[in-house]
Amino acid sequence: MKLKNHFNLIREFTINNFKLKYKNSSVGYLWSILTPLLMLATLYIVFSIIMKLDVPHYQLFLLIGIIFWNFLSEATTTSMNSLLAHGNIIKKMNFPNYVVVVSSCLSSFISLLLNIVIFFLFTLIFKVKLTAIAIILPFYLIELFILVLGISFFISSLYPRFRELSHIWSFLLLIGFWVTPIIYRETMVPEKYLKYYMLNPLARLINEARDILIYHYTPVLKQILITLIICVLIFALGFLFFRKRSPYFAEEL
Amino acid sequence: MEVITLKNITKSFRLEHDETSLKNRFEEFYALKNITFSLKKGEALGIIGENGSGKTTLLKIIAGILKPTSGAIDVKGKIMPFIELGAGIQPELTGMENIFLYGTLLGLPRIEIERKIDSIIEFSGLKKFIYAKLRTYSAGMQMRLVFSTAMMNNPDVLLIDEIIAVGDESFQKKSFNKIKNLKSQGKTIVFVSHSMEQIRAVCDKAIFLKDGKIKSNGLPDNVIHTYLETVYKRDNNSVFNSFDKKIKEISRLEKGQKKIIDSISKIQKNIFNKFKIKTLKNTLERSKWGISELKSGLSDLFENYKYILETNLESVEQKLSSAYNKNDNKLIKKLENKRYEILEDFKKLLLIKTKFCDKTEENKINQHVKFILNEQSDILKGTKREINVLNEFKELLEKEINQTKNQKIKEKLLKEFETVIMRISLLDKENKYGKKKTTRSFRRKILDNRQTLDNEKLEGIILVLRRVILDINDGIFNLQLKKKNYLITKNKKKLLECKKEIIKLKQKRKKLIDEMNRKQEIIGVQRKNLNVKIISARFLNFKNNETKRFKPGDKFTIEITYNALKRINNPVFGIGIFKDDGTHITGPNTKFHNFKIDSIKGKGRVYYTIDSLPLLEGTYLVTIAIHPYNSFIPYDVHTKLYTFKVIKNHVQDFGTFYINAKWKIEQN
Repeated sequence: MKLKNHFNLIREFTINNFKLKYKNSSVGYLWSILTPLLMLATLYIVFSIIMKLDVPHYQLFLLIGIIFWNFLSEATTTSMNSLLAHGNIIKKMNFPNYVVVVSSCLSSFISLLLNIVIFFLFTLIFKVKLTAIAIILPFYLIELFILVLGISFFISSLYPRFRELSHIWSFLLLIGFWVTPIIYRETMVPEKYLKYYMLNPLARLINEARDILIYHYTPVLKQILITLIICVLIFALGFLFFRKRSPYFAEEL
Repeated sequence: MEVITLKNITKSFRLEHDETSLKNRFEEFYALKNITFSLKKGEALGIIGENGSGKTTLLKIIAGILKPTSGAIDVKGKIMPFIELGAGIQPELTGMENIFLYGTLLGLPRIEIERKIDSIIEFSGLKKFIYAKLRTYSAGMQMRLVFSTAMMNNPDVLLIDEIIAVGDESFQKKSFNKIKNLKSQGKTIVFVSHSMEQIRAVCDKAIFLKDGKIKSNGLPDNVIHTYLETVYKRDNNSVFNSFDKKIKEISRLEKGQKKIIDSISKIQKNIFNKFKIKTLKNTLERSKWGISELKSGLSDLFENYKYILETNLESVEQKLSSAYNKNDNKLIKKLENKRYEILEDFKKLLLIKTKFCDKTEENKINQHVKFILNEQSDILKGTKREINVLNEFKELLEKEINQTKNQKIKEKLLKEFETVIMRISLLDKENKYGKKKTTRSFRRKILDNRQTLDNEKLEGIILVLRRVILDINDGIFNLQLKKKNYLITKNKKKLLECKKEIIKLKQKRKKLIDEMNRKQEIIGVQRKNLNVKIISARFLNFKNNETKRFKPGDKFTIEITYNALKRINNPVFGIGIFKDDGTHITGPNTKFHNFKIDSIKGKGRVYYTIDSLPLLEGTYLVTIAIHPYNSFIPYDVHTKLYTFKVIKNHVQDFGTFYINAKWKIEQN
């Protein structure tokens, strides 16, 4: 099959996934916006009002973290299930299986983009000005996408064989939520752990995004490169693993 | 050019057999072992085998969906797999969206699909439902959608896995024709089916898979035969049991459907139960699909079993005709018994079919069952067991009479019914009092009731009498054979006995014939305008002896005995010869042949002679009629009352007619 056909397939699957996700609910696409907002409200009340965390522009700070985290958790979970959900087709037709995973991530990516728009609305409400440096946000988003895709490839190719993974993954996500600076600043982490802590690519991406969007810091090239390398590495490993496993999906499903 | 080549393909799966222990959880299971074959462009290969024999695995390997554990595979061109139902189907999307999804999966760009969308929808015949969600479609409709989309892709290799069995009959025909059409366009086809008919109609080659190995391969007819033989070598009962199971399952599902429909109509009034109705409708849909699936399985099973019975019957009949040629009585008896058993199975099978087929088919099947019952009673001739057969016949007729509304058919059936009852009572008496007494007492009974008997009943009695006479004829014939033997062996005692027996029988026959003639006369009197009566017709061979078995090319004579009570001017005698399937083979009469008969009065005989009988193996029915010169309204007619058989000799042609011809070949 030609590469053009792969793109066609990805597009078709992505559109269908996005349609199916909200097909039977009355509010429809609004859900993909409402979820992070509701989460934001809850976390804001708990950590800003009750726990009295002192972070400047905490609402926006929190929102970026939630948006990025939500994308990761949603995309990986749906990707993990995607092979199973399309088992009907995989078992009966010969086509590039990776398309299914990519389109699952892409349809979550659409939600991410919608949420970013909401974020910009919030910056207007809370009167935080955007500077020119915000222009590199798409680069970060693409990095994030590559990272998530890599993870998705890895877990989705394991899932048909090891169904216990769904429980393990939801537990890992729970841990991930707390080892990522979503509700707190990474500066609150003790100095001696910080070196290891900052190996978490999502933590790096969230930080970098906050820096350019809320605090207007100019990013350091070295740090950007380190993030990029980690993301590409994860993606490459995940993709290779997936490719090695893909001939066996039809019989494992 | 070889399009598909498989070399030593082996596929093993890891089978999970114990979920609790972590060690030794898996067992190696070989789905395919050393499969080797190749297929040229434009050829069609049929794969048959029981469930779980590896057919689908093989297709999936050819399609590239599964990777073989070992072996080499090479497929050239665009492959189009139809593996099981509903590939590429998203139940929550509309039909239209699914066409696009499936089309893209097949590798068609969107613009291409857009261009072809109209013809796809038209072929599927689903225009009305194209914007409905796919989960509201029936199984057949889904299949139609998939098939129609796939057909637009112009594939080089088609892999078809039993999908044609689903869908209504007209679509089945349409898609089957499309497949045949594609084959004639030079597409290569691999075809998995449980329908032997379809395999035979499409495939040039066939493979029979058993436990992952090729058990037989070659021409479809041969492979199918070995397959069916291995399948049905097991106890017949198991076949009938699986029928029973399936039928029970169907009735259970149908009952469930009724319940669902009831509860839907009940909760429909409640607006808040929208969701519940939806799920109920889904279950309904699923059970409908289940029923259609079961039914198609049943008819496949039926066809296959029928095929094997037919071939068995054929072989027994062939042996039988050679046994008749050799006059080997012992063998004849044995073979006739075997034939009876096969017919019994056949009947059982047909009766099962009536449980799941529609009305029109049921009629056909009833005819077939009646034919079988006739054959069976013919085999048993006069024994106690014949009564059982006749009783079955009676019950079947009763059922039919109750069901038909058409008056004409009903009358015909009643007539048949009457005859059967007569035959039963005659046999009953024979068995109770011995042959000698019965006929007399029975005769007396008939004589007593003479006044109350109408013509129709009399005709029934005549039929019975004619049958008894024919049987006696057979008896005499057998005794004469014995007599000859005794003459040779010079067994005087037995010879005497034999002679006595023959004389007795001849006397009996004479009495019966007289009785029959009297009946004919009564009928003649009762039917005032009926002045001419056909009394009987016989088939004579070249020695002018009566017989019912002929060989192709024999001299064949029909002797018609008539009785004209009054002088009849310019009568015309007509004969109709039919094959047992109803084909009218010939209908000569004396008028057409310019054979003038000025007048007849009293008793007489008419002979119709064919020097060389041009008919091939089969059972034939004969109608005899006498009618006026200027009209076809008969004085008397015996419709298909007489039967004769043509048995095999050296002529082995197929069909009905034996045509004497010569072959010639010229070679350079």
